[in-house]
Amino acid sequence: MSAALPFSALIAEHREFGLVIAVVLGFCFGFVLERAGFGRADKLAAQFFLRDMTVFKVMFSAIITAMLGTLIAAGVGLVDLAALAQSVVSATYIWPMLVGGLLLGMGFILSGYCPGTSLVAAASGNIDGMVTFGGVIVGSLIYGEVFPLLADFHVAGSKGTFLLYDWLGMPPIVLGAIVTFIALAMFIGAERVEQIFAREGAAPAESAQRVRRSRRFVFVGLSGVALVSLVTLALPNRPEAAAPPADLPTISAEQLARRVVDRPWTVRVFDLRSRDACGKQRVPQSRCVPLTELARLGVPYLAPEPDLVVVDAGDLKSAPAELLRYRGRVLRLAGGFAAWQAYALAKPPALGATASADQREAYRFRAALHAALTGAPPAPPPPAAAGFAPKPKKKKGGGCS
Amino acid sequence: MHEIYTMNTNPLTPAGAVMWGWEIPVYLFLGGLAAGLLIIAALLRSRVDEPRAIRLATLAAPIALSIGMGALWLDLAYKLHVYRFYGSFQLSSPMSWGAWLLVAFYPVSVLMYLSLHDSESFARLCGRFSLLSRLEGLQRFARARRVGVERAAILSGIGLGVYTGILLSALSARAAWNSAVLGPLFLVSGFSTAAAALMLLSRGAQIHGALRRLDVVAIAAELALIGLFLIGLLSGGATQQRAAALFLGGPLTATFWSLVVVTGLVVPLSLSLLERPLKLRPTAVIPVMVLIGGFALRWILVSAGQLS
Repeated sequence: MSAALPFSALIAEHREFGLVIAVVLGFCFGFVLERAGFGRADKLAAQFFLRDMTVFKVMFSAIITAMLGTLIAAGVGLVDLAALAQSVVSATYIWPMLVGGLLLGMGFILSGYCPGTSLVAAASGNIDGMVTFGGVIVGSLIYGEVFPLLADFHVAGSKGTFLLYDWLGMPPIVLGAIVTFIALAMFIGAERVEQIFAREGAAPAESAQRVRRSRRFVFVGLSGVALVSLVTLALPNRPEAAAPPADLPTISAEQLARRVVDRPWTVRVFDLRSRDACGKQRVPQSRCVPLTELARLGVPYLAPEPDLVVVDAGDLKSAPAELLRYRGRVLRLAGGFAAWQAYALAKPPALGATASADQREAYRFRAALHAALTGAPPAPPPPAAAGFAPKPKKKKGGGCS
Repeated sequence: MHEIYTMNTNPLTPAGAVMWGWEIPVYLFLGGLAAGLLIIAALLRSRVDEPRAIRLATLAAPIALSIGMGALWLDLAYKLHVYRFYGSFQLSSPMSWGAWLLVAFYPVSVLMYLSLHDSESFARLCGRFSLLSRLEGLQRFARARRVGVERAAILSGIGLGVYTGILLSALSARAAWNSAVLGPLFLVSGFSTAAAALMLLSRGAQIHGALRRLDVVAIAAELALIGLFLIGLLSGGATQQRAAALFLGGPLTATFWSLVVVTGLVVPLSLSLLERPLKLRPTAVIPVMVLIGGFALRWILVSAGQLS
C-alpha cells in the first residue's frame, strides 16, 4: 500500500492524521459550496428550470478537478489507480441506482436541496435546510429498518465494479483529456442555455463582466490542470499502476499453534473458508469469516496489536484488499487448513531414540495439542534419552489448569 | 481516594484504566463556562448598553456551576463525605482551594447580580419575587460598590477558571496533565465558551460585536496555549513525549485536532474574522462550534491524562 496516498492516509499508521485532513477538507468544501450560493434553495432549484446553471458548472468543475488531480497524482506515482478503484469505487447496481437517483431528484426538487447542500444551508442558518437534513436522517433510518424487505432489490442488476477507462479500453490519461474537453464544451453549452432561459432583466450589465472574468478563470484553470496531467504522461519511470497486492507473509502451523496455546493475546485468527467447513473443524479461538463477509467486519477498525492470521483452504491466490486494511501485521497460515490438519489433528509420528531435546519438546507439545483437540488418548511419551526420564506432560489449553 | 485504592490494590485493574467518566469533563466545562460568564458580565457591563444580556450572563453563571457541581458530586465514591471539604482548608491542596473557591463564587455572583439593578428595576424585581425584598440592604451595598464587586467577580472568575485546569495539572504523575499551561488554557477556553454561550442567548447587535471581538482574542490565545502545551510535553521527559504522542499520531489525534482545534478554534476564528468582509449573517454555527470545541477539549484532556 505504499503507493496509494489516500488509503495509507486513512488506514495505515497515518489514519488519525488522515481523518483530521478529511474534516479540514469537509469544512473547506462546505465553505466553497456556501460561497457558490449552494445554501440557497432558490439558486439550486433554478438549475432544474435551466435559468441558472451554477450547480451544474460547480459540480462538473469539482469532478474534473478531482479526476485530473487523481490522474496527476497517479502520473507522478503518488496514487495507485488500481488500489484506488478497489477500495473506493462503488459497484454498479442498475435498478436500485435508477430508482434511488429518481427519488433523490424528487427530494431535491421538492426541498430545493441535495443531502450535502442541505447541510450547507443548515449551517447558513436556513431552517428549510435543517428540515431537509432531518429528512435525510429519517429517510436513512426508515430504509435501514425496512432493509430486510428490500435486500434483494438493493443488489438487483449488479454489474460489479468497473471503470470507464477499462470499459472503453483506453489509457486513463486519454479518457481524462476527453472528459475534460467534453466538460469545457458543456460549460459553454450551459452558458448558452442560461442565456436562453434567463428571465428578462435578470443579469445586470456589471455582473456580466464579472461572469466573463470568472469564466476566463475557469477555462484557464481547467486547461492548465489538463495540460499538467498530460505532461505527466511523458514522465520517465512511471510506476506500474496495476501492481497486484503483495502476497502475505506466512506462518507455519507449528508457530501458529504455539502462539494460540502459549500467547493467545498476540494473535487473532480468521478462518476464511466457508461457514460449513469452518463450523466443522477450525483452529482453536479462530473466527469463521468467509471471504464474502470480510468487508462487513470493519477490519481497519480492529485493534492492531495482535497479528492477524488468516486460514484458508489453500486456494487463496492473493491477499484480499480488505485484509490489507488491517492496521497490524497480517500473516497467512502456510499451506492453509490442510497444513493445520496435518500438524495438529493427525497423530504425531513417533520419535527415534536419538532425538534432540528440542525435538522432544516439540513432540510433547504436538502430542498434547493433538490429544486436546481430538480427544484421542495421549500419545506415548518420547523414548527416554540417556539419564533422563520425562514426566508426563500436562494437557495444554485448559485455561487455569 | 477510592480510585487510587482500587487502582493500587487490585492487580487485575489494567494500568491506564479510565476511571473518570462523563462527570468530570462536564463539571470542568460548566465550571469554566460559569467563570467566563461572570468575567464577561463584569467586563462588558459598562462597555455595552445591553443590561438584559449582562443580567442573563450573571444569572446563568451560578446555575451552570451548580449543574457542574452536581456532576462532580455524582462522581464522588462516598457522596455523604462531601462536607469534609469544608471542615478544613489545606493550603497545599488544589482541591481544597477549589472547594472554597466554588463556595466563594456564589456570593460574588449574587452581589454582581444585585449590583446590576438600580433601585427602580430592583423594586420591579421585588414585585415579582417578594422574597428578594429582604436583600434590599445588600442590593444598596452592591450598587454603591459596584466597581469593587466587578473586580471581585473578575477575580473569582479567574480563580475558578484557572482552578479547573489546576485540578488536572496538580496530578502531576499523569504525564499529559503535568503542564502548567492547563490552568490558563482552561481559563481562556472557559472565557471563549462563555462568550459563545452568551452569543446564543442574546441577539443584540452591539453585544454580538463585543462578544465576537472577545471571542477572537480568546480563541487566538487558546490556539497559542495549545501550541505551548504540546511544545511543553514534547520537550519534557520520555513519559511526557509519549503523552504528546497521544495527540500527534496516537489514538486521540483525530478527535483532538478535528473537534478541538479545527471545529472549536480554527473554523470559528476564521468565520469570525470573515464575518464582516464577506458580510456573513451571524448564525448559531460559530457559537455552537466553540461550545463543542470547549467541551471536547475537557473530555479529551481528561481522557489523555488517564491514558498517559
